[in-house]
Amino acid sequence: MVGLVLPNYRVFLHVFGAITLSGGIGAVVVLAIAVKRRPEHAALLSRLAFRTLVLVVIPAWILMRVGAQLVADNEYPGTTPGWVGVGFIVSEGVGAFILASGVIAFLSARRGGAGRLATTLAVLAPIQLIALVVAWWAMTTRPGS
Amino acid sequence: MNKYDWLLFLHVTGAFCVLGGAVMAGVFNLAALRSERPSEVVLLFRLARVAVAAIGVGMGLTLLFGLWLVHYLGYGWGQTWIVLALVLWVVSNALGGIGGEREKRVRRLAERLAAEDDQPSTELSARLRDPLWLGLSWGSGIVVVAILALMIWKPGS
Repeated sequence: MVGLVLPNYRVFLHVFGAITLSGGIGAVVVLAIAVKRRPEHAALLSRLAFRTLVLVVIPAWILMRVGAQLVADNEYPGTTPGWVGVGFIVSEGVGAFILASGVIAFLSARRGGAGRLATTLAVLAPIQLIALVVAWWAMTTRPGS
Repeated sequence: MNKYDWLLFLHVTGAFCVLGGAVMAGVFNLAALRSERPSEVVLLFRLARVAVAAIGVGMGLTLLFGLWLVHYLGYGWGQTWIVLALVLWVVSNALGGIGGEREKRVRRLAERLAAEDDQPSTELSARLRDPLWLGLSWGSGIVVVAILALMIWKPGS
């Protein structure tokens, strides 16, 4: 029973983290675009974008990445198939983008959502979402395996 | 990519839309609960429509390509995890649908209050914290997480 549950537990952590990450980034995309379209609520929206990054996106990324490492260590000890490598490259790239977005969202929120920082966030956030689609394509189709 | 890869990718894409949409809806709902001005509540509920659209598309994709995968891979239709997943899919839709109707009524109240004087309202605050509405909305999300767990553990397969 333990042998059945544990490997799946790792996969569940990874997938749950990845899905929460995509939802959190999706929320940041919507908020970042709304900041530009609804300037009268820019302060509220930019603050919410920053909080979503800190309270949802970053914890979800950590959960996804830790789950991925646990699965890889368990299923492919000592070797890393190409499609797993794609996943790691994308996830770490997204992690760097998330950190950059967090700094930009913080500065944007401090300025009440005004200025070019909000525009920068509205450009960065969709790129992360596209990268995640590439990652879940690689994870499901396992190219080169 | 072979046919199986496509079916699985589209099925998983549906799951990402459903659960990702649920996370987005959760973010906007929690923010609405913390907002005082009716115009802010209206705005956050309008943004939540994006999440609702993602959930709707995802529900369709997961069901269509999930059933296709069951047929393609030759799983038995009576397997526990498949039956449970289908039942929970219906339950989740029902909870989300009922919760969505209640949300519309709260949004209309917020729109009316925003058009009048946009001042904090105890009635709106109480409606936003209605335990039945919150239970339906969050319950729907929890049921979808249970479906995800079924897809991974596949009990009875």
